[in-house]
Amino acid sequence: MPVIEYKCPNCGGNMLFDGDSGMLTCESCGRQDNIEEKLDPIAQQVFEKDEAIEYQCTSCGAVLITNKDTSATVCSFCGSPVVLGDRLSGQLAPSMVIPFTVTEQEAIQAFRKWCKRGLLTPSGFMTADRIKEITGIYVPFWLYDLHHDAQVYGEGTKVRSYTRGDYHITETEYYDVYRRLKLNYVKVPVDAADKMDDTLMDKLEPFYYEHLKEFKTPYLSGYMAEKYSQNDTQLLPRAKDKVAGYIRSAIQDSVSGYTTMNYSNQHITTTHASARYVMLPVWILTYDYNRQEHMFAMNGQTGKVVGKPPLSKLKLFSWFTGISAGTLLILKLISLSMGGGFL
Amino acid sequence: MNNKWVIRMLSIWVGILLLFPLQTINATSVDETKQLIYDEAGLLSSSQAETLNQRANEYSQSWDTDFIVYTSNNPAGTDVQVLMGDFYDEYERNSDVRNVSVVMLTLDMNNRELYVAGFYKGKEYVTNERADQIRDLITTSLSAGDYEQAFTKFLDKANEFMGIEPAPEYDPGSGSSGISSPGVPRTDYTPASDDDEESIISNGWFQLIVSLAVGGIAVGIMAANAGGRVTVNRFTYEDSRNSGVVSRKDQYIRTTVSKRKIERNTNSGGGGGGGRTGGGHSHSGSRGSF
Repeated sequence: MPVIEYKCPNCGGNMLFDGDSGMLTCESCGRQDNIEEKLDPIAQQVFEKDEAIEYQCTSCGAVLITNKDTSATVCSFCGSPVVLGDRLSGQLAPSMVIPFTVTEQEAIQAFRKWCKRGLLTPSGFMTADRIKEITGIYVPFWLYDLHHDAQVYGEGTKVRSYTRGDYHITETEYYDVYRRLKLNYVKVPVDAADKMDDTLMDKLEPFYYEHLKEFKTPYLSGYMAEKYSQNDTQLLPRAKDKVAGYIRSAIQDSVSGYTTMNYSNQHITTTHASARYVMLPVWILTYDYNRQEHMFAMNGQTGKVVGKPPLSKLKLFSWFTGISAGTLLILKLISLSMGGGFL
Repeated sequence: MNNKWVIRMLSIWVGILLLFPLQTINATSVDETKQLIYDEAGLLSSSQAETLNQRANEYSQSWDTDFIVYTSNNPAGTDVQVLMGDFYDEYERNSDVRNVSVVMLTLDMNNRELYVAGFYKGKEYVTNERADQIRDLITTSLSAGDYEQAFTKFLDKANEFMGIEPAPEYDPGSGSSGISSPGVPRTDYTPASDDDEESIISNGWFQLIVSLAVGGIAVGIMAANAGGRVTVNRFTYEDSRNSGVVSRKDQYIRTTVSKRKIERNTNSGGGGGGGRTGGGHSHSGSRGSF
């Protein structure tokens, strides 16, 4: 049976992963089980690929409503948390997970705080009292380890200028420059779920990898989870794209002593590329404002909020006017102090 | 709530507008006769001085520029250009308007030297060349001792020049409104953009544009960051123990040297040049003896 549910051995209640204690906790009697000591049922079972077309809740027997990528959800009839084992095993088995540390209540509080800090958001939005839905999702990510060997050739100049007598003298020294750099980037995250917005997920970073744990299915109990929709080879170009900017700035830093630098040749080769499949915690909040739905994502480990808040035209205009007027005043004062007139 | 915002916004705009008084306010505030003939050397009779002062006031009002004649016995033997500069600085300090536009003739009776100068709008219209022309025109009368005639000619010629658009290379350019053909009197005035940064910062339009740009960019950044920023950089994922420069080479090839002569502002006598007063006001000018 590919559907896994965690029931309390004491009372038969649903057991959910609790971000505060990091334990699998019974809703009803409060029993807490240490996940790391528990045997993962997935490890003992062998599933055939796409064994089930339909998943049935083991508690109430209702058909579970899932899309093709769902790997953990909640039964829409009885509310029991279920994990779809066949979507988390074999090729699809995540190697590691960062469990949620921000609980639902903390997430709502953190979101409210974030809304209040918004300098440009309408005041009606700042109260953050219309959170329509909050869902904790384990988003599939690939963590890439990319090693590079970069060799750059170029011409650098050092410019020195000084005044001697009636002449302004500029001395330009030209250098033949060569650098070879070893650049290893580890655990560069790339989100592997189609339905997650890439730029939104990029902004959620960083995740702190000290809390990366060996994957066990009980961590998913009570949360939603997705399986990857693109594999590591499909997403490798995106990972390389992400580090390309880092490589550029590393090269620039290595030639920092020069005034100008002209590269004649750059060889950058990826010497090693590997990826690990991990689940990272994300809260997704939908919020109703002005009959429009706004979606926000929150890092389930750090509480960082990203998303497009509504902007108040009035506040945009006030800030614009205020900053412009302030700058004008400063310029006027500078002009005054330089001996010019105030007007 | 909304009303509060509107009031706040309006007050900010009113504040901005207060910093930009309309030109007409300046024009109407000088609607009385003021002293423009400073005959400290006593070259004119009081009736002559009175007549010249009337004429100077009349011209001053039509061009928004003070036409000044200043004579001095200069017992200290100060250089005529310094004499003129000090007078202007003092005059400007006592004036209602900062950087007041002036066309002035200075006579140093001790060294028998004269200096024709223009400040601000006056500098723009009475250029070094035109100041030379005025000086040529009046030197004969001055040498003959006919001061009244010389001063009258000075006022008339300067008045004439103020009505003629200066040659293109003296056109202020920045913010000036449209093109007017030579000979057509220009009534509007924007400060000439000088070739140093002081005056560009003093230029009201420049200040306004820079302020709006700063406001726009700042709000743009705020709006872009409202949805969260990327807070990772290259060091976040770099394995610092195993990354870095493996080998480097910096081979010196050659040095090139370029020299540029520094242009110094040297004001020679006999002729013109213009310059800057002790108070920092830039002016055009022409000096000579009589």
